[in-house]
Amino acid sequence: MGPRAPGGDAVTTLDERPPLVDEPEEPEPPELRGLLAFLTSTDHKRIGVAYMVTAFAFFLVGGALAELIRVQLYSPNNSVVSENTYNQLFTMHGSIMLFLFLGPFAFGLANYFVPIQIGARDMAFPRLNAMSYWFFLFGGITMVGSFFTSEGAANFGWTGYAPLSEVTRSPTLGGDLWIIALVLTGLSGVLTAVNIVATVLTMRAPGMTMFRMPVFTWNMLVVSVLVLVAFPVLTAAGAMLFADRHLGGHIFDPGGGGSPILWQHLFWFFGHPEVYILVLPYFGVVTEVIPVFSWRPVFGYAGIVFATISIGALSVGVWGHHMFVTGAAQLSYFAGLSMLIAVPTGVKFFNWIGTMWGGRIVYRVAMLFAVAFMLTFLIGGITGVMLASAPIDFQAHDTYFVVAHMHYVLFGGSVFALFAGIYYWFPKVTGRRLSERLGMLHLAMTFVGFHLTFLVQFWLGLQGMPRRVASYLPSDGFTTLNRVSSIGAFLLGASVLPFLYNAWRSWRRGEPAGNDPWEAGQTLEWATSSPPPPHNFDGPLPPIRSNRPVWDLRHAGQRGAAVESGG
Amino acid sequence: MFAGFAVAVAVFAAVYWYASYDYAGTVLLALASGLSTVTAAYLWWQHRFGHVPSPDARGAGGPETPYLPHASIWPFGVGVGAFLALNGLVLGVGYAVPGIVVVGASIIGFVSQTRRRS
Repeated sequence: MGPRAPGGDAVTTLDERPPLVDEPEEPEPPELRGLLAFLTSTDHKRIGVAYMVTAFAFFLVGGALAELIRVQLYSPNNSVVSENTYNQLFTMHGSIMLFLFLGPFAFGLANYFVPIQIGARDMAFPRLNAMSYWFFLFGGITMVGSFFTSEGAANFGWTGYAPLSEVTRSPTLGGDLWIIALVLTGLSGVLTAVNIVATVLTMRAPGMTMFRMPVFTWNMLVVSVLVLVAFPVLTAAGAMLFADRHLGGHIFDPGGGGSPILWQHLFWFFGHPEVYILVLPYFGVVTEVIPVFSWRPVFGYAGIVFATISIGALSVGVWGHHMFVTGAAQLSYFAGLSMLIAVPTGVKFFNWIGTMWGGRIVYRVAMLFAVAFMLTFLIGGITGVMLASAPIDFQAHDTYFVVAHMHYVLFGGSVFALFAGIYYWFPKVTGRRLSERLGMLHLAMTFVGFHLTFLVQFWLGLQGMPRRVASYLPSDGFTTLNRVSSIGAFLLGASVLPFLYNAWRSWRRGEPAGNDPWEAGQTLEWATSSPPPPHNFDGPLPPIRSNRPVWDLRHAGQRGAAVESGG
Repeated sequence: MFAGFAVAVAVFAAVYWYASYDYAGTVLLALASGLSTVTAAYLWWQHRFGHVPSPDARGAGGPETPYLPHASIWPFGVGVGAFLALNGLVLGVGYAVPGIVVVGASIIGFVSQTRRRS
C-alpha cells in the first residue's frame, strides 16, 4: 500500500490489520549480490545510478546517429545513406535524445539526490521507483530495437506528425514500436513524477519546510507536476495514432473526417511542457553548483523558486507557437505568452549572476560547465524569443534556424548543465574525485565543438536551408557552413572520450573524496558520507534552520552564518 | 502549488477560448486545470482532516522510519511483462499472452509482498 506518513497513519488504507500478540519477526532476507541484486534493488541510489548510466548509454547511441547525419551533410548531393535511412536517423536521434536521455537522466539525478536533500531515507514508493526504471529501460530497448526490424525504425520525425505517421504513408513496424516505446517511457515518467511529488510532500525531515528545500528539489517538484500534466496527453495521442494505424480509426485522417491538426495540438500540448521538463532539472543543477563554487548563498532564493513555478505554469499554455505556420494557432495569444516566459527565465539568470557577484569564485570544471551553460543557453533563449514572434517564425520555421535554437537550449542548456552536475556530484556518488585536467579537456572540446557545430546553423537557416533534408545542391550555397558544422560535430563527438576515460579511471582509482570535497557544500547530501550509506544518513541530521543547513553547521561561528536565508 | 497551477491554467483557458474559439486547445487547458484541482483538493483534504503534521511540528530527532520494502523482483516482472504485452500488440500473441501472464503474476506478487508487511 506504500509507506506510512509521519505520525504513524497510512497515507491511504482500506483496513487496519490488528496486531497479533506474539507476531513473529519477519526474518532478514539474505543479502543479494550481482545481477540478482541489480534486478531486485529498490534502493533509490542504485536506481538513480541505473537511470543515469542507462540514459548516458542512450546518449552515446543518439550521438552516433548525429555523427552519421553530419557525415551525410558534409557535402552536397551526398549518398552516404539513403533518404529513407536519413529520415530514420533524424527521427531516432531526436527521439532518443529527448525521450531516452535528457529526461531519464534528470529523473536519475532526482532519484539519487531528492531524498537525500530533504533528509529522507528513500523515495516514498521504492518498488514503484524500481518499476519506473524497468519501464524506461524496456521502452528504450523497444525504440532502439526498431532499427533491427526488416524495414528499420520510425522515419517520420520525433514529432510524429500525421498524416505522415499514419499507416498509409508509414506502414513499417518501426512506427508502431516508436508509439509503444513512448507509452512505456511515458508511463515510467508519470510513475516517477508521482513518487517525487509524494516524497517531497510527505518525507521531508523535521525543519525542512518547503522554502528551505534545495532549489534542485524544487525544480524536480515543478517538473513532476509538468510530467503529470503533459505525459498522459502524449500517451493518449499515441493510443489514438495506434487506433488509426491498426484499429480502423480516422482520428487524424482527413479522408475519414479526422484532423491532422489535432495531432499537432495534442503533441505540442505535451511537447512544449516536455522541453521545460528537459531543461528545468538542469536549471536546478546549476542553481546548486553556482552557490557552492561562489562561496555564497543563492541570490534571491524565493525569486528563483517562484520563477521556476512561473516557467512551469506558462509552459502549459504556449504550445501553439510550434504551429504558427499551420494557420490554426491564434498568433497574438501564443506569441505574447511565449515571450512572457523570458521574464522568469531572466529572473533566474540575474539570480545566478547575483549569486556569483562578489563571491569567491572557484574555477573547477563543474563551475565552468555551469558558466558555459549560462553563455550558451542565453543564445538559445534569445533565439527562442525571436521565434516566438510569428512573422519571424513564418520565415524560420522548418529551417536550420530552429535546429540551431533547439540545440542551443537543449544541448548548450541541458547537457552542459548535466555535465556540471556530473562533475559536482560524482564524488558524492562514487566516493572518488574526477580528474580536473581531463575535465578541462572535456569542457574545452565540448564548448568549441558545440559552437562550431550549431552557431553556423543559425545562418544556414536564415539562408533558407530546410531541416530534415538528406542532401542539398551545390548551387544552394550551403556547402561551406555545413562543412564547418560537420567538423564541429566530429570534435563534439570526440569530446565524450576524455570524459568516459575520466569517469572510468576515477571510479576505479580516483582520489578519495570525503564527505564534502568542495568544502563549501550547503545542502544535506554533503552532510553524509561519500557514497552515502544505506538509508542515507547514519546518525542525526544537522539542524535545518535555512536552505543551507550544512553550510550553517560548518560555519556556525562565522558572521551571518546563522541568519536564515529565505527560510 | 497544484491549486495555483489550476487557477493559472484556467485563466489561460479562458483567454485562449475568447482569443481563438479553438475547441482542442481549450479542452486540453480546461482538463489540465480541472485535474490539477482534483489533486489540490485531495491534498487539502489530507492536510485538513488527515494526520500529516508539518516538518516543524514533528520536532527534532530525524525522520520517522518509513516502510522500506526489502529487495523485490516484482517491479522487474511487471516491467518485463509490460514490455512483452505491449510489443505483442504488433508482434503477435506469442509475445502478448506471456506478457499478460507475467504482468498478472508480478502484480499479484507485488500486492502480496505489501500485504505481508502491512
